[in-house]
Amino acid sequence: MMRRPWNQCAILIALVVLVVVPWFLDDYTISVFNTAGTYAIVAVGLSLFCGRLRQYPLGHAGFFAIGAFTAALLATRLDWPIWLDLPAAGLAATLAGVALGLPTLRLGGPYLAIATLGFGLLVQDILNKADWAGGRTGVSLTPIWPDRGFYWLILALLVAGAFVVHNLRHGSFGRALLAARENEAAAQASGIDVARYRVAAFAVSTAFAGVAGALFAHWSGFVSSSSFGLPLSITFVAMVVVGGVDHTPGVIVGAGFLTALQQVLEQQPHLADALYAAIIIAVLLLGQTALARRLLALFRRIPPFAVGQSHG
Amino acid sequence: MDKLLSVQGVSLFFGGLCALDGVSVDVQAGAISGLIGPNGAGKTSLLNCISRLYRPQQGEIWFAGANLLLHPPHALIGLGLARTFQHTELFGTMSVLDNVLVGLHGAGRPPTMAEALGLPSARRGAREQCGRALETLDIVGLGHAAHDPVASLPLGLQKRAGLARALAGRPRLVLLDEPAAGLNSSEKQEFTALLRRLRAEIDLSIMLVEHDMDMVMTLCDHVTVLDFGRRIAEGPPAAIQQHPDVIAAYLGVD
Amino acid sequence: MTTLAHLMISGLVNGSLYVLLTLGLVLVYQVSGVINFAQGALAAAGAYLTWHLSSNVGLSFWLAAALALAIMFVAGLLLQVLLLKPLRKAPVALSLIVTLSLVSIIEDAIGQNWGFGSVLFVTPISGAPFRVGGVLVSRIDALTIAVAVVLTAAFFGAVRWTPAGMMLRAVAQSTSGAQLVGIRVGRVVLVAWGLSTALAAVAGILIAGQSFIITPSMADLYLLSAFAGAVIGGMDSLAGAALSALLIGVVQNLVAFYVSNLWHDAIVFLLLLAVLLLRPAGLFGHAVQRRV
Repeated sequence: MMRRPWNQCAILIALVVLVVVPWFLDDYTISVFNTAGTYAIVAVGLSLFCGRLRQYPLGHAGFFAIGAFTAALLATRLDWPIWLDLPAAGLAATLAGVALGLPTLRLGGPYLAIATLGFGLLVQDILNKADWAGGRTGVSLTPIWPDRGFYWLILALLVAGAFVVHNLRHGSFGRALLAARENEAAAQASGIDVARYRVAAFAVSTAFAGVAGALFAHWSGFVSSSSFGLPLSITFVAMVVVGGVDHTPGVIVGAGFLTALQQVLEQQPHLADALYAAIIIAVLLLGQTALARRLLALFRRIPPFAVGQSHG
Repeated sequence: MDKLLSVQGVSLFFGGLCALDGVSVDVQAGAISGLIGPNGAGKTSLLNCISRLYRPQQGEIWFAGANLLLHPPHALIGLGLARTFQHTELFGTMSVLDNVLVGLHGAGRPPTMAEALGLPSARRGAREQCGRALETLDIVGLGHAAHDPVASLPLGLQKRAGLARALAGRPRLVLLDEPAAGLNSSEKQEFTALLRRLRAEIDLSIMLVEHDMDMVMTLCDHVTVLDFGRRIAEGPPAAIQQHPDVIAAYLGVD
Repeated sequence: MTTLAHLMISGLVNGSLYVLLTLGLVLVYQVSGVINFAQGALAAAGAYLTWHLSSNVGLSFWLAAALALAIMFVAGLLLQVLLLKPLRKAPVALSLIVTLSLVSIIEDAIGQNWGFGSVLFVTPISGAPFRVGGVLVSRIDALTIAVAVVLTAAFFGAVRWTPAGMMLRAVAQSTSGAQLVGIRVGRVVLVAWGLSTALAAVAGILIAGQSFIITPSMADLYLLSAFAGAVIGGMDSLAGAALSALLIGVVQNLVAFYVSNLWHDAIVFLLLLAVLLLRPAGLFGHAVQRRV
């Protein structure tokens, strides 16, 4: 990937700042960062799928919930350590992703949106009624580290995830996805099993969501099905869109921005839902303006046609 | 000489419409075989059957000993069978090089896990792929345009890019769907020379669907003629040019 | 026998409500490609406006209803031009997010103004139920079915036989083609949205008339079945969608009675899932073939 040197510099500086900053922040701000970080992991995973395939699943809160509950139950009922239940949660979400993806990803247009929307609602509905698993009343975990400890784990996983997504996006995987979207017949003729690649990209996004959910369960110490509904699914997509779908640092910044927004709105609990919804709409609309496009291009410093730029 | 591609008795129906009716065509290894016929004769349909975009209701298709009808479209490159399309069907947002790299997809790319983790072996593999792609571009004469967006090329060069994409993995047989359409006469001559060179340099067999009679007659060793989905003649170009059924099909019978 | 007839009648009543909602859904989908998930919230808004204008402002019920319909028509126009038109070039999922988000905005607005709890909704429809072949049909039920039949017939008639209807069909088939022959596509889309929200309002008023109480989320479950009708029937077939919506109303009732009440909503989910997996274009829709 041909990157200008100052881009890499900026990212390095940002990383250093992020690593050092927890020492200067109070507990509340740390928890906001932690939330933003877990959501950012989901958004980064989603951005690979959305960016290359230009389809937007509307049910990723369901995979987040699967990850969260898997980790919570494994930790509390079976005493699994975190370094085991985290991958287990990721695996569970991946399997669910493949199961949903196989029949639905070949559906174009709004049908994928509908199917994923339905899936998210279905998962929440099942969890709501699953009292044996905690359901709406929730499952509590004792956090094994203080919030600050989790901060660095979340940051590490976020950076690792961003690295993996970047490699996939700019390598033959991302190229195959782009080819599949642009021209399915030509992609098949070139040896790309389009169906398999679509499912694989979707599975990556659900794996990220599952691991993020498990992280969330551990650091927040409490999971309940009521927190994993449609608004969260919409939040994930909004984070991807706000950041500029293809651009990982942008997506992470978008995640931070929307999380901060949510925190501010928490002050007004009655209007929170409607206000947040209104802001999401405003953000989507503003993103369509020429001004936003120019700002985004400036931020990305990448010429528009260089999507999928080859290795030098 | 053995038969590289063998199409036997293929029939294709779209609902009540018969696109192909018991068509049989053979391509010998190392040959350039032409497929001609008036518009609507079923030439592209036959190519689409061979490249597995369509499933014929009857007949068999064998390629290098493999029963093609048992394979999905994306498996053909692995067997050594590539194709180009009538309307280039290039990946418009990508560069020329990236288009060719997609063509290499079926022929040795770094494993996804290694790629995801950014391992040195994956980077090496990617560089090597780049090298192979650039080599193919040089062979078709597009080496200088590797990093240009493919949509910015004139049609003649776009066709070459499509050809490079098909040839990137060094297939044994390539199906060309009207490669000369839209080219002027000097571009056509260059293309003809290119195809002849390719047959020699990279041991390539070609099945060529074309309307340009000059190109077909000068280039092909063997020609098959379709009309209304049926094979009406086949043989060396000279014999086809004299064949009464062929003349009737093109000029109409009173 | 009369039980079955009763179930059929109430199934038809529900089905009629679904048809009204589905027509609006499929109409805007065909001309603008957007699924309006806020259709249920808009229906509730129509009901609340009618109630407010008749109970608080003191207008007669019918005048209030008519005014509410007009207001909702304008609301639909505003919705399209302010929120959806800017997104028409963006991926459709963004428009879906907008309509999804509108649900909480509209329902919140209703709740802030008039309370989140149940409100009594009284219609001037009174009188003895009709006797139809041994079965009692309440006046409101009869009105619901009648309104649905009349509006649906008028709608299909207009689409089929009026010049405006032809413009609608043209835009639904191909926006670029319609533009080429001089149709003001923007205007057609605008009016389609206005009509769609007005239809939602009609459905909302009738739903309110059925249950006598209104809440901000009163139409959400109705929307689910209407939406299923649209997908199952096929989003590019108005008639197919309407028919499916009607049938879902009947089937739901039969299943809920003869099998178990728990299945009332689940059967809709199942049918929806089955259609998406087996025939995504819907029973009456056309699958798209791609020729290379």
